[in-house]
Amino acid sequence: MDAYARYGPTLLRKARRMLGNSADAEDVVQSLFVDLFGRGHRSADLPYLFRAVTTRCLNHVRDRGNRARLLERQDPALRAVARTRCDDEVIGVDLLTKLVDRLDAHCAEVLVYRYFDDLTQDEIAEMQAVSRKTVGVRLARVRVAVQALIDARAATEGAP
Amino acid sequence: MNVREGDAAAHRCTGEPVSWLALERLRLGELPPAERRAVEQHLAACTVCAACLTEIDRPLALPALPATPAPAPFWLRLRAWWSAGHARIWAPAGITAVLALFLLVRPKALDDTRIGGTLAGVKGGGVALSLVRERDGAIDHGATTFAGRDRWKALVTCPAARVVFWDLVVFDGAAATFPLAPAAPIACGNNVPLPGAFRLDGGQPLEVCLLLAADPIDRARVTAHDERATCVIVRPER
Repeated sequence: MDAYARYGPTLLRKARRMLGNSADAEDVVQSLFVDLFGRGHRSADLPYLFRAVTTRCLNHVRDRGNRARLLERQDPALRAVARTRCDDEVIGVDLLTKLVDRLDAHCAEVLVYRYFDDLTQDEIAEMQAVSRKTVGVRLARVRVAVQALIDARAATEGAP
Repeated sequence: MNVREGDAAAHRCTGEPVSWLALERLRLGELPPAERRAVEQHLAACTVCAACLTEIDRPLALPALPATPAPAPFWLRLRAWWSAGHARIWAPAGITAVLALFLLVRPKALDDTRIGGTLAGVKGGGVALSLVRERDGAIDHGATTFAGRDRWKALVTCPAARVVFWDLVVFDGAAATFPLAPAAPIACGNNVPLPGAFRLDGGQPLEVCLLLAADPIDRARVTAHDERATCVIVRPER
């Protein structure tokens, strides 16, 4: 069994959680494997592929050309229950599109692992090859960014 | 229980949720035994996480990958080309062109500083690597000679609005070393410094190569002829 048959469904579920629709998720996962196979890599382990899909999904969200479509195509049924919340705030595609502009690449990756994939801090540290303390610092930055967005939204809604 | 958002607000995990990655690895049989036992214990007590596992068990149609036919062997393509009659027309012109190119653009191996330019997996333009040398407090951009006491930083220019994985490789002949610790992807831009500094030593010219890719770089697969490499050659000082 090749890597696509073995890990494709796992990665597709992960991309759907992040992007909120099946079509974009399939594009991201397929392009990953087409590139890998094109480079002669027939095998890869799951943590590697998981990280690769995360980065590709983040680049997909960063691309402003995709954003309107992503927001329009959101299928709430594809976003699994938010078991991990950021100070009671559920991070969805709409917030993600705003947060990727405010966070650096490291923190954006941590945001996804924590609030979309429910990874523990230890799992994130292993994934990014950094210390748990560094993950904690990055999560704190994520919280600040989320709070700033919530405050801005509240100010807008409260304005006359 | 359905675990979709909306009807699950009332359901909270009993402790630290089991990550989706751990659940997937459990189903794939890739969790180490100790972790597997801990996850199974948690699932027995937590209906929310157990329901997430049920989500994984739902059948999911995996679309077929676009066909990427393997190219025919070189000799077969050459034979087809020859038998089509192209060779009689183009071979003399081709040989002349190759000779002319060789005379006009001779390889200048060790004097060239830039070898690569664009990288697979990173669309949309060129990539450049420049090295900065610090020697006894003096900073030199674009230095091409090294001594053991120097410290080096690498600056990367790549298409803006991309976030890419990177690695720096030093080739001493065919032997590769990786002077910088693996780190998170970088956001592209002009002269983005790679985290960390490094030293170079040895008595032979070294090829310092930057690898950028859309996916994490597997060091075990890096070779001296990696198509993704953008390289700078530096020589030892005598």
